[in-house]
Amino acid sequence: MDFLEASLVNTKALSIHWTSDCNMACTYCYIKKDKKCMSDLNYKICQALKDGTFAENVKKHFNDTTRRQIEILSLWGAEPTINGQYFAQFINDMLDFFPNLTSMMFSTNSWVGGDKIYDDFIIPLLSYPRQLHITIQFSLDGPAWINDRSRKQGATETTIQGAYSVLKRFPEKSNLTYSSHFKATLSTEVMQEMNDRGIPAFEEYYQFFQEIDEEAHKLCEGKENISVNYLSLPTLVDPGEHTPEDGKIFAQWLRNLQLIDRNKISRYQGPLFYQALLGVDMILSKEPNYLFKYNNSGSCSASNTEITIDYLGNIYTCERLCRQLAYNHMTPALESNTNMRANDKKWLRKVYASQAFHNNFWARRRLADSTILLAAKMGDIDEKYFTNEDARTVLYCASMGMMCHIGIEEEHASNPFVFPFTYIYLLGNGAIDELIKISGGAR
Amino acid sequence: MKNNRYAEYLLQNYYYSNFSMFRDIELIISGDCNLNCKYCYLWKNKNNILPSASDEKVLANLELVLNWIEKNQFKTGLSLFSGELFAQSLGFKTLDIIYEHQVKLEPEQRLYRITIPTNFTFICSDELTTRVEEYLKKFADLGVPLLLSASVDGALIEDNRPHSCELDIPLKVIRDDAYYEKLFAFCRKYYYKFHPMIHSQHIDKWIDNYEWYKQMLLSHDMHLSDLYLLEVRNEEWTQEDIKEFQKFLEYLQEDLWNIAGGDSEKYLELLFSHEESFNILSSFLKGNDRGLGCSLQTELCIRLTDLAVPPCHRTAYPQFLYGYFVPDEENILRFESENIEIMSMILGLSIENMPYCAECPINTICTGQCIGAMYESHRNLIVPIPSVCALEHAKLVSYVEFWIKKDIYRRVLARVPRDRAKQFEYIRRTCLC
Repeated sequence: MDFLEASLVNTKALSIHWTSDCNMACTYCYIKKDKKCMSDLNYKICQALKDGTFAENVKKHFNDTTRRQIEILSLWGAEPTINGQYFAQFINDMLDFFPNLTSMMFSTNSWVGGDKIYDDFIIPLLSYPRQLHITIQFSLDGPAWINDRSRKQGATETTIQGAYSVLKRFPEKSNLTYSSHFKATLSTEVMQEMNDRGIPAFEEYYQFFQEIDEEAHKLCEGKENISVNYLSLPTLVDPGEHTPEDGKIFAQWLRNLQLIDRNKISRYQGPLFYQALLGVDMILSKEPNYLFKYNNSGSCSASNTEITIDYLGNIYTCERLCRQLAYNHMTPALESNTNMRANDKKWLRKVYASQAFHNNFWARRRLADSTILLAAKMGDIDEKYFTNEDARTVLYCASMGMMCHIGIEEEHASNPFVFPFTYIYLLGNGAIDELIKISGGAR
Repeated sequence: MKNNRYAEYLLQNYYYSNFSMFRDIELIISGDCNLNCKYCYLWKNKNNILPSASDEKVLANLELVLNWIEKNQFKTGLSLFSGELFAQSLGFKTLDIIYEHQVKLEPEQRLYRITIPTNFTFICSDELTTRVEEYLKKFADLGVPLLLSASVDGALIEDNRPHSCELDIPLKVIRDDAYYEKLFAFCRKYYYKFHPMIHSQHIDKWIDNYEWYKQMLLSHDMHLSDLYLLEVRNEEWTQEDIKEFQKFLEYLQEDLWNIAGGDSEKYLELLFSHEESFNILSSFLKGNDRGLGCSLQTELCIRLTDLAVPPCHRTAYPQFLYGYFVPDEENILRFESENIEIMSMILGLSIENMPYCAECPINTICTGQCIGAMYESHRNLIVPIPSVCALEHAKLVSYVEFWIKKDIYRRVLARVPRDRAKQFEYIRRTCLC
């Protein structure tokens, strides 16, 4: 078995670089908004979807053994629904080729509307003769005063109605099961505004999602093949260009979060901020091998059990690195550390280098010290991070639960092992202590 | 991320406060060379790591750097890094400017020394040799010695260093017996050493090449320790090449054993004296007092074409530049940071935090790899090259094997720190039992 086969045997999930264009321009989005580049590339993707070469370029990497490993397929890029008309042909091809592929997933702003999403993505799966599952993640940042500002006027209502529409049309019985949730992103500007407005703003935020969740559950009554959870928990702008001041805003936001009257949002049962808790749990856990259990990263499976493939059949470490390259089309592939290109003779060496990221947790952790210690020495994060090694480990692990590492670190410092200051600033100014309180209180 | 406050702190703590006789400033002057060495990274990557600039620009930037050193009262030396300085007029102009600058200073303010690696092709021309000697004298009179280091692989493997072109100083490169006679006589006269590179190509000729070197050194009243042997840690090494390398190391060890007269105690004395042995047989025994064994964390590297500060000459890619020195309104250089995160990471690198190396069972006795070569191999600065890991492992195996054969293994272990002794034991148990 050669190195390529060996690396693909572990691969259970395929990320497909399905689109490069978007019908929104969210304020915090990290994708470079070069509209011409985005639409030109998307035209090529559509051509490859239409003539079937995209599917062929995916399949060519797999032999009879490795194709049986694939269980999950997700669509990424920018906004997947804009290429929805090609999904039926593509997914049928994939389902025929990957006999154990049963789970699909994509994330959408649903600006195209729930009916089109249902027609393009649900109907083709309903007719396929295999038990399948699809997850749709709807991007909704919060009430209109948050969401419309960061996305588009009217986006809030469109997204909610889009989510409802799929629920309404989904049949009571089918070989397809459906799950859905919201993904909410909070910028530090919004956090500051919530801090300024006080606890009622926090309650309004969670009540907003609670009301949607309540309505959604009414819509799927009697449909056991549907699982929805619209009790959204906020996530952070990743990576952002966070400053030490942002870190203080985030810490204050977490303090305020703990003052919410939980009776007003009784549908929420767990912690109100989950992101980062995985990392904190690693430290709080008494299980001795906990860190090794999550040694890939905490939230990242890139190039470990998951790979990204583009329309040309190029393989990438992760979807984020694929986008980085796709939208910086002037960047030669060889100048990137971790992108793996099937048409690059050296790509197997890059697979090896990428896997180093997953196989060397402690090396990465110790490397992070160089930036954490410097930030602490210069007074930009809490002093304890200079003197307390355990505190540095907590900070590092907490970031693993909340942030994309391999792609972001490549973007920030041209090496996926370099721990960026943006994380350190955001977490190292009091936020960790609040997260530990939230975590401990919830468990 | 840019952060000048952080950059100043790192520069101060890693470089400025540590400048000394042995920790100096490396100036990248030019990539032009009249040889085309097969293992040289510059030929493949010159356009990426060395933007072009006029000679005037390079020399103007040199003046700025010299003024900056003087203004900050840094007591240090300079390493002049380039393709081949003595085959181009820029090299001599560089020395002229440094000389004119130094001559105006009080002796205690002058540089400790100036180190120049050179391929010594200037020896092919008597006129050029005389010119170089004039510079050696001028600088010696100033108390700023010019230390030339001979990048000469040896007569038997000059194929690895073919002539490529003439630069702007006419120079016919013919490396015949007469050339080598002159070369060794020159190096003997000025106490210069040789640093040949042991490359995978023609590795099978290294035993003969070593014998040639030995004969030349001894016939010119030089010492074998004037030969600084270093293996090229690029990715090309195959299993067959590595076996040949091991044969050469065994030969070298036998030769040192014979030099010691077959006396084990004398052999150990030579081995641990480090000064009288071959560096390649002993450097790993003493280790180093910093993160990495190379000069990456000790020498401040400045590229004179644009005053960029890269991690080192081999990693001067745009994305890894720490920043640039920029002249202010009074023409005083100030540092403007670019990638502070990579700077912080690289200055903090050690075997403790490098992927794979951190967990490697022979990490304290391995001489490590070159981060530039790693990047060239698989586009990651800190992930080791497997073929070079195999090379370094094989090197250690051949040492342990030899020590066992000569029944001095336990005595070697008794002289090294316990953590290293354990790692030699690991080699013995896993490879030689």
